[in-house]
Amino acid sequence: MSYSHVVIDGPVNGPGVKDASTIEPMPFSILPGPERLRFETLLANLSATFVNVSAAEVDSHIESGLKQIVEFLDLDRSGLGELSAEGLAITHSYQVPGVPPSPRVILESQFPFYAKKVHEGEVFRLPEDLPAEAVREWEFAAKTGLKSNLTIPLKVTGAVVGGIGFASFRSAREWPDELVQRLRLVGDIFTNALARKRADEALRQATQQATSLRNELAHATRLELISHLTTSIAHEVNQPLYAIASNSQTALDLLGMGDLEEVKKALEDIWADARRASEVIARIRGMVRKEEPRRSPVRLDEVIEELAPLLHREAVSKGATLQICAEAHGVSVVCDRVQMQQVLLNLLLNAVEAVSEPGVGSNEVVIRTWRNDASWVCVSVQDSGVGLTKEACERVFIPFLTTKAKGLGLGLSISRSLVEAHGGNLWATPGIERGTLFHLRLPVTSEGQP
Amino acid sequence: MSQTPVVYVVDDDPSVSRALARLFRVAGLRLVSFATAQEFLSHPNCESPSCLVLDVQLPDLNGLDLQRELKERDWRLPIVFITGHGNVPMAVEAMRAGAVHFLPKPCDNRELLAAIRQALDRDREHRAQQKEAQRIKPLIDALTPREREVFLLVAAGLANKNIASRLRISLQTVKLHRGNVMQKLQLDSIADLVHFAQKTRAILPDLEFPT
Repeated sequence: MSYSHVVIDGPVNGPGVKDASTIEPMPFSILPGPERLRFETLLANLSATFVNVSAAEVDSHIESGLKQIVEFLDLDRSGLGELSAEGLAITHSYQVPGVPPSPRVILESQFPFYAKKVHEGEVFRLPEDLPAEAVREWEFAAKTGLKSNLTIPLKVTGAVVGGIGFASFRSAREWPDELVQRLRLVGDIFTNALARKRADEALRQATQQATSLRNELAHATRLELISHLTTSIAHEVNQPLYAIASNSQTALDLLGMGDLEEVKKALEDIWADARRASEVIARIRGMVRKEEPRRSPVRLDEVIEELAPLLHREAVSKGATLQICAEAHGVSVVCDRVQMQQVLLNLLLNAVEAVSEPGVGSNEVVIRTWRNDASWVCVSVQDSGVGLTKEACERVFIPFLTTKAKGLGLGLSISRSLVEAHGGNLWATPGIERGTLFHLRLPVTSEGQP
Repeated sequence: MSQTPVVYVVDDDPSVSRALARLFRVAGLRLVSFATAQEFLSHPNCESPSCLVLDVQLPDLNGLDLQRELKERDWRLPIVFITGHGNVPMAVEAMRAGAVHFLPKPCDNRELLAAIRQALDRDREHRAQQKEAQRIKPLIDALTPREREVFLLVAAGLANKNIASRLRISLQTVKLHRGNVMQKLQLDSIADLVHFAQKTRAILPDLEFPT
């Protein structure tokens, strides 16, 4: 069963139950005038409470509602349950001290008559509605000392989804129709709130799932992106390694010659180069590793500075020159560093690719960062390639639409979705003279030192 | 005459340049390093024996392209390639175009130095040849066309009378030309002439020798 639709049916018109609209003016036979007014007030308040209750508070409010009703009507126990394969599973309950709690599930196998009534959507009253042949129910009542019970089936879109029940162990109670009507209303309010809570949970779950899918996809496209840089990365690691290899051999010769001063310098160079190589590897590992995104204040200028060496070789081999104009002056944005690296790397690699196409006169790629008024950090990546039409500028963000021989065509669409998840925007416009201009902006969240 | 040999290095990586500078200093070589191929090309040629150590991937030009460019400019500088991302076709192309060696990066210092020494030897040899060519060229140029013919035929081992009949001139005239050749080329004997001709053939391959 499920509460997935919030539409609540009108009152269940079981035998002996009149339509709610017709009973309004009728007094409760068991409640004197002022008491009845107080009860109506209680119900009205309850109803009002549930209008604004948040999903997280639904359960506690239902329990408190059950308690208020039990106390007001001087009952011993009440519970709200939902129909399951086994029977009526109690989800919320309240009992006065000294009274045993409701069973966890009112088993269909154990209470066949009761269960049948609930299933059929009929109100059940003990003892009136329990025939002599319902042996098991009678036995249970005798054993537990249950004197009186009222169970009202609750429906969502015509189907019984559960029930609300009230019990007394001290004395037999009367359950006039007017009271049943009002208590059904309470049950409906609870059901409604629960349905809302579940919808809320489902939505949250769906959002979570979407986020996790996006992160998975981001990781996959990031790996693809990195794969374009393998030559570059190999070079960036190999150069310092070569310097280390050469310096260490030379240092041995220098030792033999007794030139300790130069040995020291060689060792210092070796140390610096080892660090440089390991930094490159750390950076790549950071991008390749599959980790939960973590948001922290990040300076985009710094991210670009870190990317530059990885891109350098790629740009060189494609005959592109990369110009960085970092003017965001230490302003930070709160974001996942790796994801923003990915977005920027994607834009820069695209730009390098664009200027390396045959027939492109200029080979310049310019990345600029600046702060736009108080609220945005902006980045633009300008290439001087063939350029895109205005329509194409929007098309490039459509997934799987790619003009490249290699790649999935997901880079820009995933980039946009990452940027938007950070409260920013990513779009493209035709360049002023030629090429394409990609714009990225992210909300400023803090100043100065991250 | 023992000028410090110069090793040109084109590599845009400061770490590599520093390491090589240290290595070469210890090895008694002088390093002149350039970050780009263009910088190197605009640098004047020097008098010392020299060679070029080159990565295949340069910031502005492919190393193999630079090799081609040097050839076009008739700058016969021996090249040692050293690269972290070489492959067989690349190596074959480089060697075919006259590279002295194609080494992986990282490589052993000794291997690199051996390759550089080989390259410098090649350059020295080339320079010596050029010097010799400079000495020989004016001597050859001083010969008249007829004297040149006689010189080449004598060098080819022909006797005077054969030369006379081949050139349809008198034996006396051949002897006259031959005397002039010996004088102009500053030679004392027929053995000197044959030796001189051999050298000329090596240095000035453009000169046509009769077969």
